Amino acid sequence: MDPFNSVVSNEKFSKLTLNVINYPKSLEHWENIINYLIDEVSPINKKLDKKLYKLIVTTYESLLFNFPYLENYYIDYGLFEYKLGNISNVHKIFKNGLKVFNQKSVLVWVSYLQLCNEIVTDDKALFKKYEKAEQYIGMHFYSGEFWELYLNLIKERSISKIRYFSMLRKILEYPIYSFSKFYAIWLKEIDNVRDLKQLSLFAPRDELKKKLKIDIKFKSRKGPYLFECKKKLKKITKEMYSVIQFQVLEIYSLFESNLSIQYYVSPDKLIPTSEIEKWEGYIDYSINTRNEQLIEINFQRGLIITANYDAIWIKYSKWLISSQKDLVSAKNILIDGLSMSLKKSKIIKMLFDVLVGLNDYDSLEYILSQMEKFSINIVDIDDFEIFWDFIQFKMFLANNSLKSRYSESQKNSFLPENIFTLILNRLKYEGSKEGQLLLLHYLVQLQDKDNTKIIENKVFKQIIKDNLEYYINDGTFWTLYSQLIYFDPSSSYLEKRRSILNLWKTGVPHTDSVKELLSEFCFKYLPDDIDNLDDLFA
Amino acid sequence: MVSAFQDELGGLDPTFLKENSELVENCNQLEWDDINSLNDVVSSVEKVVLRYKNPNQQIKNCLDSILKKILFRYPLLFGYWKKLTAIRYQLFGLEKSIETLSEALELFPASLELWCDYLNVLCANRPNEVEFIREKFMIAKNLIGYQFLSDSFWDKYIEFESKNSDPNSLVDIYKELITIPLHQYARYSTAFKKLLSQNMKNDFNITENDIDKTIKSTQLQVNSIWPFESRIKQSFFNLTPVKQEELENWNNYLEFLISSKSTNINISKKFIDSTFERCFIPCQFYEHFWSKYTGYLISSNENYLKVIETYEKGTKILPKDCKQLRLDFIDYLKKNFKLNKDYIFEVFGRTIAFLNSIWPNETNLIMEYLVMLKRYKYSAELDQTDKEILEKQTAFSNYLNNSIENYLNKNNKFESSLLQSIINDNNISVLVVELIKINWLVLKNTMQTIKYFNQFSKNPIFQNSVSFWLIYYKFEKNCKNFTKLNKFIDQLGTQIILPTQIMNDILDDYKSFYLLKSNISAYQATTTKRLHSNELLNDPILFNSIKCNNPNPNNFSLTLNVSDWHKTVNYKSNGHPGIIVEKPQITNPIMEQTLKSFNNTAPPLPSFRNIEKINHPIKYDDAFSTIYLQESTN
Repeated sequence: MDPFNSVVSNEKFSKLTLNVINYPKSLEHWENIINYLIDEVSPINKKLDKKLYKLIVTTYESLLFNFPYLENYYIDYGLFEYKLGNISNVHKIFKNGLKVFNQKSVLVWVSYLQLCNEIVTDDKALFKKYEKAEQYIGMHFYSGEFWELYLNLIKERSISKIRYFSMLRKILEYPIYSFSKFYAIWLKEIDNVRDLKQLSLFAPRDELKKKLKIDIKFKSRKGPYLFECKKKLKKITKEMYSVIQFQVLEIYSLFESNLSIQYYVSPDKLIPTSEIEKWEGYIDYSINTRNEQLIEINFQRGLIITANYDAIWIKYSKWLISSQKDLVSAKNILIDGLSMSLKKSKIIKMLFDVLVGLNDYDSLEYILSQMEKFSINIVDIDDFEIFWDFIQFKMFLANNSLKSRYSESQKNSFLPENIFTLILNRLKYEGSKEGQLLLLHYLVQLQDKDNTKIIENKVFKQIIKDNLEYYINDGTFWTLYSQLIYFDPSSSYLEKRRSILNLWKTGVPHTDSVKELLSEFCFKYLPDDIDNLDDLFA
Repeated sequence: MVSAFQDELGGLDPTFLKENSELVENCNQLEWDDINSLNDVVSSVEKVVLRYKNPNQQIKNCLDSILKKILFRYPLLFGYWKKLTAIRYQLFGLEKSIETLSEALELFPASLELWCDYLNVLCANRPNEVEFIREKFMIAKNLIGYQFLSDSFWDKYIEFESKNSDPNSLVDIYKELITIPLHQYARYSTAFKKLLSQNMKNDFNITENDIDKTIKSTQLQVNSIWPFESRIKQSFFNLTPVKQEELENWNNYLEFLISSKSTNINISKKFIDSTFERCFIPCQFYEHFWSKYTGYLISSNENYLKVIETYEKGTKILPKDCKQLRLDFIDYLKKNFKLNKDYIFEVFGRTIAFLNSIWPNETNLIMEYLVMLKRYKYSAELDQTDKEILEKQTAFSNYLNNSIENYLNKNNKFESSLLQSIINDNNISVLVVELIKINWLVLKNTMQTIKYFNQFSKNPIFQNSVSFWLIYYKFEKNCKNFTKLNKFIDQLGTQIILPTQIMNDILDDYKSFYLLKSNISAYQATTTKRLHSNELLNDPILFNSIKCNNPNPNNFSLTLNVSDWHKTVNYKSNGHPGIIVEKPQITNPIMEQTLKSFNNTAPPLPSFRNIEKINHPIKYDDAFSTIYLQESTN
């Protein structure tokens, strides 16, 4: 049997694949299958069977398709190709991975750069990669490893010493977990200075002179003077240290030390609400520092951990809209969120808003039609919010196609026929769907000069005619009906009062709950009829 | 510190005050809710009285009014009444002390001890005024004669009547007495029988057999209430909280009495009423018992006057934070308005005025009053002519308009009224909303409505009024005036600050309304400006997402000058709200610059801000005392 068949026909393999098929959202089963395959082909070298290679690649790809936020599997996958010597694939995998995280994954970057140190021969290209990484992950609280790599790279491959010192000096300002390590290096470099001239590596000459009274061209006995100068430099370093230490401790004690999860979690494992709240707090803090790099990296970090929940997706897009006025990025974030978050209604709502904001009505129409296609029937959908959003945006788009405002057809219809039918069908579900009374309330809110009669006849009278008891026994239905009449701009006070009283005399069920709600209505609008209502229910 | 008795002590001779420093000190240190502190004041008053045989009038008045002040506040402290009686006897003589007791009984009519004292004093000192005393005995009998331990009163009563009247009226007294479940009930059957046997020749229409029968039923009653009576440890009023077991016992007791109707133990209504009255002596601050009593009275179809009287008493006595009984009272009045419109309207008015004085932030009260006023004075039935009905509505509108104008212009151009007296800055918007509602929806005067909106929306009093802006929003929606609506939504959260929940609801509703009622071209026309301005997005659809749950949307944008950001409270308390920290910072950071930008020279030396403050103690932003307490005292 060839190696491929011996792996595939194994009973264990079929069991593992079956599990994955049955529970595609459970990370554990995917991991088992990958581990099994890698185990079978170890040690990995170029002799690997072609079919097996293909199988492993597809498995990695499907795993990452199902769980796009698994940072470590991009690395695994990249290393797998690296071992086989497929360098161009290595670049592709890492670049794809970074794209998924909007370039903001310390883990992926550090592994990638470590590999690049070995496989990229062109120094210029290599430095470019570091520069790119720096702007995305430099503010990450755990970016120490990256900075170390970067610093070493400059030390080893750069001819000018000044670049190394400038980089080190720059890193000193980052409030990161391992900040003190870089201070140690800096102080050591000060100790290593043998000549006054070398001090200009630490700061510009004129500043040394002006601020620290250090004269590099000092002429007389240099030994003790150098000692004094080093002391001055160390003093200002200590001050900087205490500032950064303050910042690091603040971040650490308030947020970082409380975070208990650092990686993406499979959707079948729940994350405590408190963890999500901590991220929200951390992000609020970041927003208030007004450091955009910090805000962006922490949004991304929060997303990696809470990707299956909608909170951070929404927060991110809100921030992009209101602070950055960047509707396009907000749209992209929401589309990603739509695929990853388990709860979607709020994200869809927000996405609709953003699409309208972008004047992208085609996409909006497309999504609405997809919703109609894929849900069994939009009327049946359990989530009332999704249903109502659907109706609203559908209506908004329909308003546009009714170009002439005064055409006869619009005057007589309150909503387009097809949308109105959807609503009426939904109402027929009575108590078995949520939000029915809210839906009625929304309909009444749409009342204006011309449509009172339509709403009354097509909705309220129809419900009474169809004898839908769910509404008829509920006082809210009758209050809304009375309200509709009372707010009708086209009839006079006396007419309204008469028809409301007539309404109450016929049809209203005499229960306490109905009476209570109608009394409230009287209290608000018809104090004159409080006694009449009492008599009716006596 | 301002003494509670500044008025009383103020005018006194300094040497007197010096000599009686204990009195002055106790008065100055008085804590109204501490019984020991009250005791100190009373005993130092007594000491002063003992020290001076005959003090001058000024001192007499002062001592007198100190005690009176305490007793007006806590009339149920019967011990103090007794002390006041004794002190007045010494200072002013007998007449004044008798007067004191009668005064005490006005304020504390359910006190058995005070009644006995009073009747004793009357019998001893005015034996000739038989009719007057008899009248007092009759009153006392109704007030305290049904208390379980009232035998001392009854003994006194019988003693008085044996001296002053014929056996006939004595027999009448006994007839009632033996039906009451008293602790000493058995004694009276013997006494009664003895009385009968002493007066064999009279026919009293009652036999020994009858007495035995009655006594048997009384005995049954006494046995049934004894488990509760025996557990009452504190029957007097005190400032300390009543013990839980005690409260439970009262509750069970009253529960038992109320439900006794359905058993064979027939406890009289009078006894139940009397037990409630007794319960209110120690438990007068417990709303539960008041509600129980009113509930009992209503369910036993008690006359509405008695129910209202009870409600009013409870309303006055209970601590401010007890709401239920007071709201129930309002409800009761509303429901029974038809019984006696004039009387109930009057009670309703004074109740609302009282409640408004203790709860000035409760805007619902004025609304209740307006509706009642409308029903009482401006109501019109549909069977009246159209003209009459509309006249009434116009009159009401005018009345509202005048009241509002009086208040806002701080003058009394129009006749003042009870309504006038309960208007304050919190509830004026309720009036305005009613006025607008009646003009818009009843009188259908759109022009006038718009005029009102223009007039009031400029007044800062209404800037944060939920009801005002809601009616405004509703009105403009009804008119489909998108220009005004957009402007309103734009101002929401920046100029017009409403509670977040309300703002969320409006934003939500408006988005719906906009999507369903507006169209794409109108939307594009309003939002084109967005591209060119750095202001908040003026966008009826996106607004919702940005302002929702965000009480201060301005905060979100980066419009504030970045260089001043570190001076704001938001920055200083970032991450730890309420704790202000002067955070150390590098003022010339280079971390966001690229290596190339350094141009092969070393980056500049760092300079710092607030570095000397790193070890300063933290400062708390005490919003509670700086904002909340200040506002509530204003």
